[in-house]
Amino acid sequence: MGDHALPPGDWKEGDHVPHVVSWQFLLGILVTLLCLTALTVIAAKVHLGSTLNVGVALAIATVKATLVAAFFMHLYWDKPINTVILLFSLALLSLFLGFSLLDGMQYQDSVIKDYAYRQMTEKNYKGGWDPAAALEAHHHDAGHGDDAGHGEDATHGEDDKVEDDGH
Amino acid sequence: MSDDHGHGHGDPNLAHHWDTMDQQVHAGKFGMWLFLSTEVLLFAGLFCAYCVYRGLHPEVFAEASKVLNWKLGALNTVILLASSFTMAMGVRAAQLGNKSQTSLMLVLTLCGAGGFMVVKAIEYNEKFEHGTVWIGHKNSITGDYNYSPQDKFKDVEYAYPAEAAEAAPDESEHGDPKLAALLDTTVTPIEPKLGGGIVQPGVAPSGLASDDGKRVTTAPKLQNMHIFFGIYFVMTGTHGLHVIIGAIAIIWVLIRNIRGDFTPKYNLPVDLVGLYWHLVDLIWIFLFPLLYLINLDPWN
Repeated sequence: MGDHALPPGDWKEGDHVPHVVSWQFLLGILVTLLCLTALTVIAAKVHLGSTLNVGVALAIATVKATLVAAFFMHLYWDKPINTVILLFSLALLSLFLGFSLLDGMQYQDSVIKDYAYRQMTEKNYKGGWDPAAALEAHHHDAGHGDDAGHGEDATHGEDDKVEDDGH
Repeated sequence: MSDDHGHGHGDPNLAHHWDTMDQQVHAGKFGMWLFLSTEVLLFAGLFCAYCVYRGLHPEVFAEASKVLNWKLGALNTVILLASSFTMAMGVRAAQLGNKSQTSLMLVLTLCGAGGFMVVKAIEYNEKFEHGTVWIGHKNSITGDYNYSPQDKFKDVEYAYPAEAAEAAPDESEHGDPKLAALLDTTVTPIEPKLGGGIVQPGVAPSGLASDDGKRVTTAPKLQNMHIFFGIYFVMTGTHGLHVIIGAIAIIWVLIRNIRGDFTPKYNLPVDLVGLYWHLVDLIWIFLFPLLYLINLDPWN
């Protein structure tokens, strides 16, 4: 496909004869990429369910990436080893993402519920979250046992401390 | 110089450790692809963070993504695709030995890089003004511990979870059934989900309406948007850094081209810089839908 840089007789043995792609072909790839960009925006506005929406967006992106890699980056005409390197890195990428995603959802039960709740209440946004004070208050409660109603609830740690100071 | 070693064709561009130009080109491209694969793995870490956090907090991503202007993202996609085309044309012109056309195409590619960064700067500035830069729970712009983008959501009043819970103990029946079905815990929509997710609008006490007619929602609606914006800034920032590095590399080959270094037999640097530039484009192709096009559909 396309032109030759030099007349055939000018190339000597051992020279690298480049594969020259015609500009019409490159322009065609660009137009295809722009159409696919429009398509992915349109697809995002159609309700397919969040999973399918992401799937369609990624599928279109993969087609676009393949066009860029194969033709703009010349992989289609290059030695196959370059494609192998790219696919190898993508395989490692999918291993990395796959195992992270498998693992990432496994610890929801062990998230400290009180901590998450504290973060969302107004007084703690204003007063700041002081783990040391909360822990101290918690131990204080547990030690005296006179505050059984709050003993298990670390979210009231600062309130308890104020009360205890009054005693 | 290569003749001193008894091989080669006397081309000064042929490094002495290669037998032929052909060998040099293939080795150069091979090395470049090895480097590009490490670039893929660099971004793999960022994509991994994206996937894990989006998996844990899909509603945060859906809500926070609405703050981004997808039109600017699409414009940047078009700019990068066009500059990728001009780069490929530049490589072609260099292969053909067309020096002036190579320069023209490299300059056009540079314009694409500049245009991309200008749009990016406009976007970043907008984000800064909306106070979307967070460090932990603290807004680094406003210093607030409050919830973010004031401008965009200024007509929305926020009630804190505890107050809202008293005001509307159970409004789940009045919520949108379609949206309610998306949530497992429609009975207590106000209680923060583990990990600090947000509650979908319409599900949480939708019956709350203040006297002046403003929509009242619960604080969790916009909570924890820093999860999204942290990832957004790191991913687009790392990508933007690559755009700048690519532009510097293009300037380098542009200078060499003007100097007359390249011939139909030797244009490897243009080719390799082109590969780098295309990779920058390739990564943006994935960043655009993943960051800008989340839940544009009106149901969400």
